[in-house]
Amino acid sequence: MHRFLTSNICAPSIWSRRINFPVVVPSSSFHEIRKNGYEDKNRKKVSPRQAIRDGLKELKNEIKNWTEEVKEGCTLDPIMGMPLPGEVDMQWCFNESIDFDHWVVTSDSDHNEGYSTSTLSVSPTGKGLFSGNLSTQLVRDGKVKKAGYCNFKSIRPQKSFKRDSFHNWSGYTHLVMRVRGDGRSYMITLGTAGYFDVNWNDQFHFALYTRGGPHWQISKIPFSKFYMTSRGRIQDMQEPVPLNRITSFGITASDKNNGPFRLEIDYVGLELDPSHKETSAYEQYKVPYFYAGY
Amino acid sequence: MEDNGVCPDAETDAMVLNIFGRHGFPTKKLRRMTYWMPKFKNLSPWALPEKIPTSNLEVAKLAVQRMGSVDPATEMEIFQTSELRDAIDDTWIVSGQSATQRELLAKLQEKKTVFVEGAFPIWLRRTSINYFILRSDPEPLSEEDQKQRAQFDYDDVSQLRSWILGQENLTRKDIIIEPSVHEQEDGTILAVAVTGTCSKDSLLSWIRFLEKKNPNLANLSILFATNSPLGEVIPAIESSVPVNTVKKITDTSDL
Repeated sequence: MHRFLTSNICAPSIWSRRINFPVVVPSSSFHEIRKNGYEDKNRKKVSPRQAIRDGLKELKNEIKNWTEEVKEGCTLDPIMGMPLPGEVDMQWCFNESIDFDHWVVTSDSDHNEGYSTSTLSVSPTGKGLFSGNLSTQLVRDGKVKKAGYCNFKSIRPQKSFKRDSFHNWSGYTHLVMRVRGDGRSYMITLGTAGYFDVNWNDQFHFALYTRGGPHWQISKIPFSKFYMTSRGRIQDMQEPVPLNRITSFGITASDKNNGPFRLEIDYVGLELDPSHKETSAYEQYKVPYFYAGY
Repeated sequence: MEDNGVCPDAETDAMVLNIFGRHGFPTKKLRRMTYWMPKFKNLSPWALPEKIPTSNLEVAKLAVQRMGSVDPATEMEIFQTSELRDAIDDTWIVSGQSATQRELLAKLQEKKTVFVEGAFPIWLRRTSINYFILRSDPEPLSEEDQKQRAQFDYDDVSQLRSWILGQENLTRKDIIIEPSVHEQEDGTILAVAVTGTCSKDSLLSWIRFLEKKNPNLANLSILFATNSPLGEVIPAIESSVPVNTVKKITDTSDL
């Protein structure tokens, strides 16, 4: 029978001392095995009856969302060929009304892999503040070789009925951010999960350099400079950012400096600069077959 | 190698190729490093020397230069507190102020409060240093301006005036001087400094030095703030000799 929320997986326990995924792929599971993330060992098991009841509670809301989507589809103006050049279209504005449910803040201490802490809050000037303490001290469990990261990212947008959707940023060429940092370098991550499971962990990264000091800075980064990684591992074959399929935006602090960090963010926006013609900054070379990561 | 930022060179490549062969992981990894590391090496818009000097004064100079890079007219000056008569600490002060900031200071009205805030940390690759700022509260917009800005609609084309038909009538009020980069919504930054001892006394000396080029500073009331809207403050070291809390610096006769 269908299971809405969880999948009861039967895995042989003899080999599962160090294995975090089910060894046998069950044919009756509803969801694909995740290719990333940590297993939630304390997840409550919900009975099918309770799962159905929980689902029906959300039904009313989801139907309302769906009708709104249909109405929008009928009445919305068609998207013009390109956005207005030179104008910054704000995607996220960080002020007193940040919806913290839309942002996920993580650090290496979450799963006992380090001692860094981080928070996303509102700064005294009424802007968003990502701050905390980075620590490269290793946890003594024999598994962890490097430590020290703090990260916050946006959750994946969803359509009605909890269908995963994308941000569509096609037509834009630059990512614009107004930030006030402390001189440390941060990393911007654009999640671009693809359709196939090998592409679920595709991300695009680039550095956010901050001047430090009391002045705000506007960082305008072209999308052509972002380099592709899979779960953080840089790939040999590079391609331009698929702007129509952005799943998340995040900022990471992991510059190996022990100490507190502080990044104030005013807004994150997009801009079209018609003079920017570059599609990807990373030239590709012809190599023997199966040499570079295919 | 990658952890310490060492870019491979031709000799290392030849060595690894001879030892591990062309189709092995070490050679492939080294060639990937040779491709990627130079691309990221000099990306920062605020370039720093390869080796950050260890002396605090040199780091302070780099920091003030970096913070002042926002305004090309910034001038960095180094003072010694021993030049002043009343200074308790004997230290250096690196101060950064631009001509624009000096003009803004000169325009401040009498008895207005300016705050000396700090210390805030700034990181330069692996070292951090504490700096102080001189800040005044932002100028609030007049009620009329506030109302106009709140109601302004960029997409409203019904208010477009045509100069051909003589409808456009620009007056003096329609033009404003573009605000400088120092006038921010949380205050106007008037100067930035790093001192050797980070003590209140050295800040006092800094103010006295600033008064030489900013005579208007004598008319303002200066507060040493322990809180700041700019962030968490590492409090300045109190001097060992008890000093009356300085709220007003009015006479410059001792300079």
